[in-house]
Amino acid sequence: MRQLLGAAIVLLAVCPAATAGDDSPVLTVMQKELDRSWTALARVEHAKQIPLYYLDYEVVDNDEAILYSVLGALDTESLSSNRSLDVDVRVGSPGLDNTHEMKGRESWSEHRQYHLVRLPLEKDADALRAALWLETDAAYKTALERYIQVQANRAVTAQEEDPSPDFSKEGSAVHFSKTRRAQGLDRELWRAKLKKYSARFKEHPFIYRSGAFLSAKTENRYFISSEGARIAQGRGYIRLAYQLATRTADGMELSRFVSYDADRMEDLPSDEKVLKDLESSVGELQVLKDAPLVEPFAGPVILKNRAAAVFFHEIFGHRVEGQRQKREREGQTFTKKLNLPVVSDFISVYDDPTMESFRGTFLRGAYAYDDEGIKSRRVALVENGILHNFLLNRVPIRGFPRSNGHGRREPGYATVARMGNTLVEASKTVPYEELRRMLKAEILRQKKPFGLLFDDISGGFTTTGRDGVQAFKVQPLLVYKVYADDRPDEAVRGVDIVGTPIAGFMKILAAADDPAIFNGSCGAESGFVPVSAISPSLLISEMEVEKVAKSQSQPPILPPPYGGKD
Amino acid sequence: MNHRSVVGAIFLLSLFSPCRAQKLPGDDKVFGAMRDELSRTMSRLRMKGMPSPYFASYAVAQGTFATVTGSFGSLVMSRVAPELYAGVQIRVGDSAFDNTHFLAAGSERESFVGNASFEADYDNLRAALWSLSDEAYKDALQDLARKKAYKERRLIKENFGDLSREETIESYGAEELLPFDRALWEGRVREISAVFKEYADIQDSQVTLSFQTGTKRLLTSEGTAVRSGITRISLEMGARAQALNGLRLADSSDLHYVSWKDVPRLEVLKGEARRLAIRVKDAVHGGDLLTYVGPVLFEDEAAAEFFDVQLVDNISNPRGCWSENEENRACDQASFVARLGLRVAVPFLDIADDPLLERFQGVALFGHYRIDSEGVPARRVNLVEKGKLVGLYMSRAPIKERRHSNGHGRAEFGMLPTGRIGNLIVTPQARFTMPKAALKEKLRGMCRELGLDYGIVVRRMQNLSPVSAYKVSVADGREEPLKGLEFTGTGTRPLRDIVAVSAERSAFNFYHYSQGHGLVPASIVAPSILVVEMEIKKTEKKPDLLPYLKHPFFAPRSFGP
Repeated sequence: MRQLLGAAIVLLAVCPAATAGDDSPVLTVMQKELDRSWTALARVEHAKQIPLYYLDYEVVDNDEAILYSVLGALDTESLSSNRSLDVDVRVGSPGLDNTHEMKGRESWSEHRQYHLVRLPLEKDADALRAALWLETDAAYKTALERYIQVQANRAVTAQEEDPSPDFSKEGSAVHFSKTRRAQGLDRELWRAKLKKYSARFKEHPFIYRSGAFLSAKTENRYFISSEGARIAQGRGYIRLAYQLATRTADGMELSRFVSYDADRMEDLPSDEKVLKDLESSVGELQVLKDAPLVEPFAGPVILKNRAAAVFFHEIFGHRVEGQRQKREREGQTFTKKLNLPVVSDFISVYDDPTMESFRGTFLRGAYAYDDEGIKSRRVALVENGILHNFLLNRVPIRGFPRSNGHGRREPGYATVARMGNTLVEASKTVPYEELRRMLKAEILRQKKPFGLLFDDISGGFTTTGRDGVQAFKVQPLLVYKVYADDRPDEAVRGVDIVGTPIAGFMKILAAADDPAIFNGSCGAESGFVPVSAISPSLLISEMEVEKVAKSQSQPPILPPPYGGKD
Repeated sequence: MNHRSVVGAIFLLSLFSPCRAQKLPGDDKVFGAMRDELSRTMSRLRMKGMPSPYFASYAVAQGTFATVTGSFGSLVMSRVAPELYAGVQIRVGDSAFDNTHFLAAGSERESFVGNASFEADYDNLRAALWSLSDEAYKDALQDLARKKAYKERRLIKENFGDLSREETIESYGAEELLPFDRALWEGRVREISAVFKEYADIQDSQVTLSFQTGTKRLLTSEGTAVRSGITRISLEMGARAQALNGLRLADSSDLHYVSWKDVPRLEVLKGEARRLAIRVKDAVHGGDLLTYVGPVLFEDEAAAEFFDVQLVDNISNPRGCWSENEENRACDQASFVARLGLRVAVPFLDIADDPLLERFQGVALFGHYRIDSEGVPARRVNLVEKGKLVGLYMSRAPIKERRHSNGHGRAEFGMLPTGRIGNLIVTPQARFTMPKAALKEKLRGMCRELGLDYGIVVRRMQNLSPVSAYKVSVADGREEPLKGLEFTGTGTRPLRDIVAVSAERSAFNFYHYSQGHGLVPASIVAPSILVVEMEIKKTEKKPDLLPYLKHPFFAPRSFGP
């Protein structure tokens, strides 16, 4: 199950000012301990039967300021710093190592469980090395133990469909250094701004939950490997956001969430812009609250640009992650579709983590090097409808022996192939108004009473495993009925998009010339990573919707104590 | 609790009167928001066809929370933030039979706690209380219905009520907000954690300072209103190692204070870290023990831990609860309820609990409080007299044997209070005591009579497993450290098997944990004790491989930085 959570996740960034050049003292300490372990572990007794062939350390420094305001008062104000460590150990050989997938009885067992290690924050080399030593020892022992299990598991289970090795051979080792200094935040200013935003919700007692927050985060990642990689890279993530929620008498939870992402404070929108957006969000929530429920429907739809971006990320992007083409328990939707059409022929899909911004707007999904020390690059996944490539980390799959720089993780998890900036491009486009006209024509052609317009989607889930139905479900947040005649659009609520992935992508009829960005955080096996997705609005000839599963809770019995009624 | 917090007078009102209006301090905005929302809850919160609440209580804790963690001379985390928490309890039904003391399967939520603005903003706080009340009320209605069904099906006839009648009080202590010198404590945590650089046997260590200071408020629909200042300072040190055979060892030392002036000098704190390090080092090099049956001496905090496990846990939470999920231990009733009036300890021990006692031999007692979590004034309670059980820890949950609270209804903030420890005071009759040094001699004497070559002294326990223990040679009194021990077949016998105690008593401060009721600060004042016979065996735990490399700090220089 994977989710693209735009909301809820508080990821942010502050501070511009990159400091290029100097190696961090942290890297020096990491290097010393890695060298010592690498040399000494090669000499231990076990190494004769089971050699250690790869070792890396990744240290992530986070500095984050969070301000959160509810109803005009501050709920949270925190400044925090932390430093985490991941140690990756590979024993055996690249052909077969301790990370190999287990099958049958032990197929549940991942080669690495979630394990977050907090490191000392300061430069003190003694404390850092002590922690590195202990974790290396533990990781090495776990690797040895699992390698023995892997060998046994392989001997007693069926032959694998994809005989690719467990670890790729890559080019020469990289040295890169571009860290970023955490910068101060004008807290006085932002307290006042957030209070001003969040106080607006008091005027609307139908809103049961609301808040405005700012998170400014600076992240520096340090990576070092036994292959000689030595990388220090930093990035800032700033997010200003607000949310509002209500509940209908029939128990449906409705919400709006708007976020603004940047890497410099000055790129955040003005009060005027935020307050204007906020008023329209309140209006949308009000309309949604009073909107009728929609009955199950299949017919033509428009996915508005950001909604289409989420849709592609969720339904397509996760299915072209490399590990899903290899793991025996995966559904492998696209594995055998290589060089075949998978999407309408005017659509191309790329993933390009090298893009730091798109038309001047910050992209959260950018990075220079992935979490396996591989340089990021643009990957053409689909060109003119034909599937050409997968998202790859250093786990080779049939026909793709090397990484394309998409190995990513949240600290504490094992790295897998993930998206960065996913781009949906159309070779022919029309103005958005024309796309609407085309929708109306399609409604008439299909003799449907109406079509649907998905204005906003919150992510959802997609099952890619073999044990589940190969389907997806995403949660539209703002949906309108569009009529073929001149009647205005009508908001509806309670719809989930359902369907099977392969069918859906071939039904794209047209695209508009209005690409927009979804900036969010995506959760999967390797935790949450910042991502972006960009797409134009898309007209799809047929999509199915069903009723949403709702909570059985009633709205609050009493009205809120603000708003002047009590 | 700081003294300043308790200067407020306590008005005892003679009669219990529902919804009586308190004379809240007019300038207290937090109380204002609590009062206004509580009044709305009591008068208007009602679902069609369902009962309205008959009791509601709101608690608000507002203050500064800080955590500073260090390891091996360097900071791992440092966080200081203002915070405010709101907790709501709603009861439906009536005091004879309500929604409490019942855990429905699948929805075992007993507390309704949320955070709200640390600025204690009126609208924000009311909104938080409103939302929690709504959830708590709906939950209470469902629990009450299920509890009724449970009672019918299980043919339960006996009922002693769910909420005892107690006098309401109003007590307005001063607000409290002690300063926190962050830079100073970051420096101290670094220095204390650097002590472990002197001990090559220790693989991993951590020192954490936790500090909270602020004001707690409680307001109930019955008319009780309490405001009290509260400060808690804890220095928690932990160390891990492997014995020479690979057995994993862990020990800790936690120090707790209620004001900065009680916190000793840095050198003393470093001394505590050293004591811990030495205990761990001893265990690393400690010998094995196959089986031992004979007298055991529990010294100082090991004796306190002994009383905690042997007595406190057996007289806490006397009511227990009904649970649809019978596996849930949070519903266990105190096992000693049935022993009231019977002998549970040796006749020369008197044991009481006195939360009102602020200090013992100059040491501030962590378990001190004046008013419990339910707004009932704390009282000294005699628990054991001449070895016989005469008292239990009582909250407002009545049982057949005891129908009223004795001011021991306690819980972590926002959780459901139950009968809990405050300051447990063990008082031996003087003629059965001897100097601590003589206890060790007595241990040797008893062992000699039994034909044993050595006796056992325990200096630190965790859940009745010895973490730090030594062999004492009968021949010459020499001590040798041991590792990896477990008691077997202990039961409730040891309290009745104490043969001698020390004249010296020491105070042990700690957090007492209870499932479903959380952590509460507590103290045990006890002498060292000699138990006539305990069975000890080697632990069942399996050792692990030792690290392949030496600790980088202690490694030979050829590898060093």
